[in-house]
Parts: sequence; structure tokens; C-alpha cells
Amino acid sequence: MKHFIAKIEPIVWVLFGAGFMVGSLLLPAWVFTFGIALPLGWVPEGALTYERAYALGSHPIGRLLLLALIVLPLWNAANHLRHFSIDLGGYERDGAVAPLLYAGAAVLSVVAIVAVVQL
Amino acid sequence: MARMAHPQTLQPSKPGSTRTAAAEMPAKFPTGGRYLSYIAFGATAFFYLIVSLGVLRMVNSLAAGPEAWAAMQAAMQNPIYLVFHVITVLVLVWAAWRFLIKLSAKAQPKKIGPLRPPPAQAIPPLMGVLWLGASALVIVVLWGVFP
Repeated sequence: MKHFIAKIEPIVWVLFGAGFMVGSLLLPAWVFTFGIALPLGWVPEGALTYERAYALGSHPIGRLLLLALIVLPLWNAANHLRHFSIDLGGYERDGAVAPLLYAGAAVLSVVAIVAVVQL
Repeated sequence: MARMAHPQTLQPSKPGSTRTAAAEMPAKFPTGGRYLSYIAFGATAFFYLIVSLGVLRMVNSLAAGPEAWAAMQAAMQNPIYLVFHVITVLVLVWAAWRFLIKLSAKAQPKKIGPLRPPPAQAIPPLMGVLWLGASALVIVVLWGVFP
């Protein structure tokens, strides 16, 4: 398993970097809009009705963006949590932590792809 | 045929003749000096994980229909969620600042194929403009200004 993890590391690091880029560029404004502005009524009326949100989300560009907003930060989190665990003295447990985190990210990525395709 | 590289390749097959001190954690690790911000940066991964799951929940609500979408929006008004989202935005902005502005210039390779990267001093402002532009685009689209 250790050798397999070492083999897939280049791919994981690419997804990690892309996740940081997407997460840094898009997520602050996204969370601000949905998590703060919308509940406080700052978003103009009609901007995020079901019909408009569905039209945006089901557009091919919208689907790609939604997929990127779910999958890439997931891999970012998985790889960063793995190294966070190692930094906090978990080198011995990395043999279990890394497969668990990467498998979780892989399963959730498949769930996200299915969810976005079926939208 | 060449063999695959292995992470332990550089490890000597037997201990060297020169005595070296045993590896030990720096005294300030993990909460003193610069280690604190390094560890805090690692901990931002929890927020990325939760936010990506939140977007997945949003997609599922959208797929389930108007009632589920309205219920998701109503749930967002819970004060606990609101406080959590304020903290999350602060964490994401700090992580973005550290990644885009502080680290990206240092992480450039000397050459990218035949091209050289821009001068190191130019990268933080370029990334800042890119960040502001992308954030503005998200706001403009989600707030109904465009399209």
C-alpha cells in the first residue's frame, strides 16, 4: 500500500495544487454569498431563485464549475490533512491515514460526479 | 528497463561512519514562532473539506427540486451556520492570501518549458488581480448582475 501511495502522489499533488487554486480564487466569494449574504438578505431578490440557480448549475460551464468546487478542494483537504497528521507526529500512522483520506476523497469524487451529471 | 523511483532511494543502505545527532522536533514546534502559522495553514484543510461537502449538499438540493432548495436556504439562516460561515470566510481569505500572495512567487520553477516565469516581484500583484477578478465574477454571477 505504501508503494501504491507513493506511485499516485504526483497525481494527488496536482489535484492538491488545483484544489488550492480553485479554493482560493472562488470559494471565499462563494461562501460569502451563500453562507452570509443570502441569509442576511443582501443578495438581490430573484438572483438565487430555484429556476435561476438550476439554470446556472445545469449549464455545461456551471456543471464543470460545480464539479471543480467539490472535487478539487476535497483532494486539497485530503492531502493537506495527511501532511497535517504527519506534522503532528503521525508518521507511524500514515500507513493507515493516507489510504483512508485518499480513498475517502476518491469515493466522494465519484459521488460528486454522479450528482453533478444527474443535475 | 529503468525501475520506478522509490521514496527511500536516497536512504543509505548502512549508517555512515560520521556520527550525527538524533533527529528531534524544534523546541518551538508546533505552536511557537513561525510554526504556528504553518500548523494553522494545515488546519485550514478542515474548512476546505466542509465547504466542498457543503457544495455537494447544495447540488443535491438543487437536484431534489424547489422545496429542497428552499429548505436548504432556510437552513442557512440558522445563527450557528451564520457564525460558522463568517469564520469560514475569514479562514478561506487568509489561506488564499497565504497561498496566492505569499507562496506562489516562491513556488515558481526557474523555467516552464521554453518560457521563463514572470519576475518574482510581479507575481503577488498578478495573483492579487486574478483573485479579485475571480471573486468579482462569482459575486456578479451569483448576485444576478450577469448573465
